[in-house]
Amino acid sequence: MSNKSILTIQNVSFSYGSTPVLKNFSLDVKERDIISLIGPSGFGKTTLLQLIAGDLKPETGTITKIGLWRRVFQKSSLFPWLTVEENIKLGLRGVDSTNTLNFDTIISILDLGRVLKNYPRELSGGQGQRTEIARALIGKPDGLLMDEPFSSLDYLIRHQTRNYLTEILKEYPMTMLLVTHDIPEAVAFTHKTYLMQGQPASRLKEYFNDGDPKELTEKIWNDLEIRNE
Amino acid sequence: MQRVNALSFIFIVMVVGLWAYLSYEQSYSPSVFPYFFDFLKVIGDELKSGRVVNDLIASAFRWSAGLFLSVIFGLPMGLVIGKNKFAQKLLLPYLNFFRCLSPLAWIPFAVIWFGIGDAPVIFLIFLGCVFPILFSTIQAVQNVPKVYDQLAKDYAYSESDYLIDILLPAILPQVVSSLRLMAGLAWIVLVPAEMLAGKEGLGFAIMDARNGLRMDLLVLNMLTIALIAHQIDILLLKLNQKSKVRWGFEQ
Repeated sequence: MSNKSILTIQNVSFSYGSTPVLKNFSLDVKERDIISLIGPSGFGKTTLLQLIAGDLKPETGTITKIGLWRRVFQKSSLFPWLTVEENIKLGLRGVDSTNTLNFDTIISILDLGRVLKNYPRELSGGQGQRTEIARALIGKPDGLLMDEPFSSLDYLIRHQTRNYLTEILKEYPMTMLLVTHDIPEAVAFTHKTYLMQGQPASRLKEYFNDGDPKELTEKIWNDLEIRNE
Repeated sequence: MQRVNALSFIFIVMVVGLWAYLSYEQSYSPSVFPYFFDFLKVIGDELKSGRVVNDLIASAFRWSAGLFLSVIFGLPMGLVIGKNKFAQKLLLPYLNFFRCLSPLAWIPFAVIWFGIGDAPVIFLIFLGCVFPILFSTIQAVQNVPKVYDQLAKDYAYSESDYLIDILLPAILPQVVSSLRLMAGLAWIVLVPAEMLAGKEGLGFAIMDARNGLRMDLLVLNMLTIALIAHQIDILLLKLNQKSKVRWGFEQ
């Protein structure tokens, strides 16, 4: 981790029609931070990622991101008419071809070698999600946005996919922002967890995920505003 | 494709046998019930004179031209309307209104505008086929997952790249299905439309045979259309098996 900010969200507000979702929301992400953003459904987590990605424009405030950012979506976004290999290589679009991750290495770490010629419909849930991750990573991004990327996977595959990703991050350190509603996952997988608070979301409570995961999970769970209602 | 199995083979042998028997008995007049043996003879005569082949070539040209024009016009228009809310509001009510109209209702206009010959037939086939391709393209474009648009932005697709590498492949299965429907529809429209052809064409030959009470010739022309239309349908069905299309039917 360094002190250089790679993503700065300053006083961002956003609403869907007359329903405010984010109000004066701020977050500063440093280079090589691996953080998770937690909040119950409807607290604007996905909206925040869409704002960061540029799908939505903030009503007020600014979002500054540095370098190349890629994202992994909640639902499958692989092109069904392309093979796994062709889907992954899409990640090389619009990036400097001399500064990418090695295709064979990433395939080997994510164990996709046997399915390169297959089409997405022929993959298991875990293989599909690993293909999405490979596509996002192959262009060697500076930052990775992940919107509940494991939510469609069953427990074992979810655990396995997380391990693959941890291995990749060890090999190629980068900034990662994981949005999830799964507290144990956030605690186990990232270095820092932010809990979105307020309705509309306006504050963040910060937790360092270096203590006892069980205790930390309990603590965050107790701090969830929805639980106290 | 449904292959000819033993049961269907026995069935057709029985039907042809019955036809041959009734023809042999001559219970009905040949102007009402074509005789099987006249039919066999007319196949030889028509092939020898080359007339059926000329008719087939003329019809195939009109069929392909009508189909081609409807794709050239309907597909891009479907892309524009499918992507554009303003165009949907402006045009959809009228397009929905006109698509319910039989293309044959346009015959008087076809004659006034295009006279007699290939052009009015092509125009009527175009009218019969353009609405299916237009509406299926609009629907296919509207069904393209939103996440593809987000991907296109993330991965720096230009507008032309988006069209060629995302939008067209994403709608291809539905377009191919629609093409199959249109191919059949074009043959259906072709027969009555070719009464405007003036000369040549399988549809024209059917009208001509009817006017001359040549039912044996009429049956030959009918079977030629069915055979060609069926073969084209098999070819288009094979397109569905291609990996760039098949995914659309397996999801």
